[in-house]
Amino acid sequence: MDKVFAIAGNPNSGKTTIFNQLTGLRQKVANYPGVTVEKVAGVVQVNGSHLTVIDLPGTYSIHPRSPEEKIACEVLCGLRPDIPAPSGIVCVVDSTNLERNLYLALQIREIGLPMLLVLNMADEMKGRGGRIDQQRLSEQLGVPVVSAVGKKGEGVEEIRRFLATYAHTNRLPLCLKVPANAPAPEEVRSRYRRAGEILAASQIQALSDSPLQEFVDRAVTHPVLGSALFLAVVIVVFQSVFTWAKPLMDLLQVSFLRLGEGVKIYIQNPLLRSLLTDGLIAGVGSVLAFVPQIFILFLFISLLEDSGYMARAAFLMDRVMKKIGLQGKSFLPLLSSYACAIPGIMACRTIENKNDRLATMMIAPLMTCSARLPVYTLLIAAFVPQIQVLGSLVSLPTMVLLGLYALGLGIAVVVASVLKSSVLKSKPTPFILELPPYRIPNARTVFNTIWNRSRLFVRRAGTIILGISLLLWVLASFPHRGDIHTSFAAAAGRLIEPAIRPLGFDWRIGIGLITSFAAREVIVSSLSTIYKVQAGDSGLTLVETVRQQMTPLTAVSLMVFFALACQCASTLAVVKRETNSWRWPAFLFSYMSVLAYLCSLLTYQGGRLLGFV
Amino acid sequence: MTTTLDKLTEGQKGVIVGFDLPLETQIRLMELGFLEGHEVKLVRFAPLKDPLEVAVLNSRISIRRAEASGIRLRHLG
Ligand SMILES: Nc1nc2c(ncn2[C@@H]2O[C@H](COP(=O)(O)OP(=O)(O)O)[C@@H](O)[C@H]2O)c(=O)[nH]1
Repeated sequence: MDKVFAIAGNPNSGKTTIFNQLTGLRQKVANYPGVTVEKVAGVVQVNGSHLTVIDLPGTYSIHPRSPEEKIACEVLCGLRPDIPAPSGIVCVVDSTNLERNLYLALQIREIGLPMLLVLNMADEMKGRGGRIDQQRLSEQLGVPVVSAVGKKGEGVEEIRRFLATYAHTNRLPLCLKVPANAPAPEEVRSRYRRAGEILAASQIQALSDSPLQEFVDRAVTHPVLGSALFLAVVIVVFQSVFTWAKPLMDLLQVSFLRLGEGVKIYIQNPLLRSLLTDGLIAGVGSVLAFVPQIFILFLFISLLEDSGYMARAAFLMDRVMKKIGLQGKSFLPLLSSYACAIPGIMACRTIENKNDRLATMMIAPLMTCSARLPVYTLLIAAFVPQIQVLGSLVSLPTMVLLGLYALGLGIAVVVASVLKSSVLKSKPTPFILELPPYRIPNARTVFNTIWNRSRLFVRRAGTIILGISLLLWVLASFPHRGDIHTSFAAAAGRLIEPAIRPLGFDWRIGIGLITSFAAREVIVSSLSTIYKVQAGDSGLTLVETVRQQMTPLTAVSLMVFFALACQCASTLAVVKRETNSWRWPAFLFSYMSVLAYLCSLLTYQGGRLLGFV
Repeated sequence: MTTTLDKLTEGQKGVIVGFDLPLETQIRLMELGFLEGHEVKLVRFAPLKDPLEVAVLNSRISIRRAEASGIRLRHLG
């Protein structure tokens, strides 16, 4: 097995930037076995040998509190069965906040492995007039020290030299078990005292305040400017995932349609043709259709995180989110779920607290995603008259649409509160969040994040989504060669009809419910196929056909169902991937289905009692 | 004169003299630099007065009011 080196340090010290500089695109992202923490590893070639470098989760202390910190600690101490003890540790510190960073460095040094201290952000330190005697610092700490500017690649050569030096040694770590959850207060005090002494001995010139930081901070938190910026960020993120991704998605869709048509020309066998075009190509297409959204959302997340704004947004929103038992960091994932729950759920990884993260994931699919819109638009167009309400301020269809958005949001608030006061109750962990300095994001880091996220999605969730699409194709085309009316799906639709009858749905809507599991909007094309064939080609538009085939009350009930049901295999696949277990997707599907069923039932039966049809 | 961190007004400073917090929380804060004898500054409150942004050791940390009220300070004005 390759020799392993670990990169450790405080969050935002520039670990990932340095890791990217060292490894380029030769990275692998996987989960540590048995937990949901991501393992980011890369390969570095020095003197002809391949070394594995691991970018550990950021940590403030070797005494772990979160699963991420526990992993970092286990890797450093060589206590993980899946990873050999590191041959050396690269400890990245932010030179603009040396005292606190040295506190961790001192702990890491005590592990007793070869260690290199990387004084990162040297450019910022210089810019603020700070100066460090590296020689003195190295003597005081007893480990080699290099100064670095991660985003420019300065210092990377020295780090490579360190790796080369220790690539063939085998020293054992001194810690034999994971340190306890918390050190004694006296231990913290004495180690900070030591850090203070080291700093006093090696610092030639202390840092002055940064006028630029002050200026940016003043603007970002200004009551008017700051609120405007916050709103602008919210709108741009929302709009971009919602509309900027559209041309790309359309392009993909058209390409896949073309591809399907191309295939049709060459394949005569209707069954094989349908398998390839409606099953395989459509399935792959539906996986890739998410990629532009994921790409764009993670572009923004990455920019917001690396610039330091994300923590500020969480700071602003914390109080509001706390009301429903969540926290500031839940805000962005939920916002992006309005475009699509898939990237939204993936964005939950920025929430460190596990229970808060799970609760956010569990309510994200209740936000009205864009796949629900075709369903809503069709039904509203068919049944809701174009009249002005509220003193002709808004039209009734708009009101209904807004009502559906509100329904999802309202239920989400309730569900979050219930979850956070029951199964996901966390012992009240205090919300302690560092607000890092404002920094200009690094293009390379941003690109790496986007690349890794998109690739992971396609590889992990993509395979599940494709599998389910193929399964649904089989259900809709067999046993009678592509005739949906006599298919398994139709049989299933008839089978579930007694159960969905009380909601006002017949077996044809039942088919739609089943096929739309591939993607919500599929119900539109399914209904169109079913109704068209049934009505014979009567030349009616889909809206007119729907108006003939459904009652208004059924339509309302169906919209309520779609607002609340987890009609989306991809969401479940991505929750599986993010939680590393089938338990949470199973829970998500069950609770949303029950909720949707009950609310639809209430709508339909209540409506009938009130005399609607 | 002693006070607690949440009682400061924006821009005011104090020196930490002690904690009235669960030990676990206290130690977490200590590891971030909230140590007896260290100077802290209340930078600002979030719009709804909670959480608050605190400057400590060349860094900015956001904590909620509940924790801030458990950090005892000597006022520095
Ligand atoms: N000025 C400056 N910024 C840096 C340097 N290294 C990294 N950054 C920036 O600091 C931020 C945090 O870096 P990142 O690598 O994500 O930190 P991590 O949380 O430790 O992995 C990003 O915006 C980087 O672009 C550096 O040497 N100088």
